[in-house]
Amino acid sequence: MLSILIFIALMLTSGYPLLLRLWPESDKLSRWPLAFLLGSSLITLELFFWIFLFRWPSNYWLLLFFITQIIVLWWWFDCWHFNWWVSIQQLSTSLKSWRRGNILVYFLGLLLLAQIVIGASVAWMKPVVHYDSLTMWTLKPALLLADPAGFFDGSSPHFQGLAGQPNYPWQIPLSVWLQAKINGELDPAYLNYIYYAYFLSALILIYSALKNQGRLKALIITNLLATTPLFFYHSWNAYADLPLAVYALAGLIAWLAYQRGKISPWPALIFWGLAFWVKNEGALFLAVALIILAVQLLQNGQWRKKWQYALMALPVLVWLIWLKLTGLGLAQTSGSLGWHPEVLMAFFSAFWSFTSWNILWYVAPVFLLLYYKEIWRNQAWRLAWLWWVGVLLSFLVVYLFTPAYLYAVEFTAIQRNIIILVPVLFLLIGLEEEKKDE
Amino acid sequence: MFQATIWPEFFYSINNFTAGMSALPWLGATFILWIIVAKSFCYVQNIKFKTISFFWLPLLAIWLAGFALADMTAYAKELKANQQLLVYNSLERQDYRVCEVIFGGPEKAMEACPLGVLFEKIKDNVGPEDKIYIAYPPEIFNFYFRLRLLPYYQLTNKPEEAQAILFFMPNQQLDCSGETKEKLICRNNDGKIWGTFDLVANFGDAAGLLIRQE
Repeated sequence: MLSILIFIALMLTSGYPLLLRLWPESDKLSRWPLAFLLGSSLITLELFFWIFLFRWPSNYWLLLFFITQIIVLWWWFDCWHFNWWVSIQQLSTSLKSWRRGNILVYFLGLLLLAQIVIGASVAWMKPVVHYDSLTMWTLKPALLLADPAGFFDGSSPHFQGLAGQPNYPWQIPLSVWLQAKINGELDPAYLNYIYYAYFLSALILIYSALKNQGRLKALIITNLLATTPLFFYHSWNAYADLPLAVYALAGLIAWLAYQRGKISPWPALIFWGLAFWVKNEGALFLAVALIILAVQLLQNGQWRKKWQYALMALPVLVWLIWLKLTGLGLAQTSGSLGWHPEVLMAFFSAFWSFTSWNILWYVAPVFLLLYYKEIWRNQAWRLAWLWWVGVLLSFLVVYLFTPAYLYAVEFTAIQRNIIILVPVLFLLIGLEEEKKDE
Repeated sequence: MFQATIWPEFFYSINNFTAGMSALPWLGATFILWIIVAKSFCYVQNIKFKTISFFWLPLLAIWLAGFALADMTAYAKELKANQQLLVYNSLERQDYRVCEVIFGGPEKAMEACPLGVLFEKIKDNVGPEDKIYIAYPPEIFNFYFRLRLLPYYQLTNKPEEAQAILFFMPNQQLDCSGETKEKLICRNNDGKIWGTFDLVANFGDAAGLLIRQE
């Protein structure tokens, strides 16, 4: 268990100084998950350069590099004023404030705690056993650990993890690899906790984003998210869809802050821009955001001054060039572009699969009918919904016109794509009193 | 190639986990009906539609009813299985959970999971210098064996040089047959014998571990 704690501490301490520089106004509670996201992206991108480009060995120099980096980042961004004692006192004050809660608040707090404990126990008791995890997310780092020479040898069956989707990005496999390195071996009992950390991040983020609307409401919505069946299932099944969902959520929280005029669009663009490194479809987050931003800036006549936001697309382009140069390609299936209308029925029915969503997809249309006027009047809220709808339609377009339609009609991926949009949807629904802030 | 044959097994396990969700359309309809009634009531009485009282708390109640109907049963089963598995280490638990997929449920898996025996036999018969060939097609078990054995053994893609073969019958990749199921002779395309093997462990009815005869 110590290895997973060291792993998370490494991500947090690497990401925290970057977060303070990028988004100093961020909510104190949300800093933990946001720092974890930034740290995960940074460390795994560096590991990719270290292992894949430079082919350097993973020895004590790598450890020294990370420790030096943390010291330099904390010094460079002047984070040493972080006072642990004050922080602990704040936490204590915050916990004491729960004494003033009513019975419903206690009930919801206990329910959430129970769900968190059950998630942790299932993560422990169900080591890596699910299909994509066995064939890809865990197998790739296992191959890299067991046969590092064969991993870069084109004639080896282990080349680039050929067994499982070699053209998928490396944040999750390299996280697993790093955790195994810290642990000394790849122990399946600990791996699920990487994904579980993202699950906790999602809960903390949504609670902290909504807590200014009242603890009761924030707890209700956090509980709804934690008890959404397929979302909870992904807290321990070692797939990458839940981590991707957390990047979408972090990006949207920053996007709302930008649209309210509190911060620049950089934090949102960076969280959405880093999502491609979790799964290829994460690139759609940034693409949709850049289109909305471009239209907004064109309307305001600010495009010439602020064109540099488009630079966030560069890492995605670099990754695409890497896939091209290494011959790995972008597609997961062979075939050419076409029109596959049968996807529409599969796509629609995926929303109404009660095994996955409880009554969420009854609530969302009812909510839109109740509040469409308020949504339209409030620019931040409207543009956040627009982003959500844009990403949803992007998925639909990919399925309708590419060979990926197979994953939709066979129901192998479509529900997992919907998971990505669920925490964001809960946040958007939870903002129904946003107008009071205006 | 798209492996459509694997997924039904997989979704079977997910469906098991969330069995009992059929009541949820009624719960969804109840929520919609409640909103219509509450909104009409507020309109007629000319009072504000308070979201906490009229939207979030009723939603929470209906949501938790769905949660209790569907997930509580699954949680109870999970916790029971977990309690029984506490005595095992993580690799044994992993074997058991993969057996759940094979047998389609936890009860039979607990009684008859052969993976522990299989890996014990490998430990007894295969040394660190020996190589193992996995003759399963690229399905979940091929990947599982690969993942499970990679840290401890050398794997090979050439069956001729393997000391042990994880094999299932009939096998389209290898031509291995014998007068008895326990002793198999493997031949290449031109009929030349490249190995004679003993079946030392069964994995299901038609699969097992082959160890090369000295």
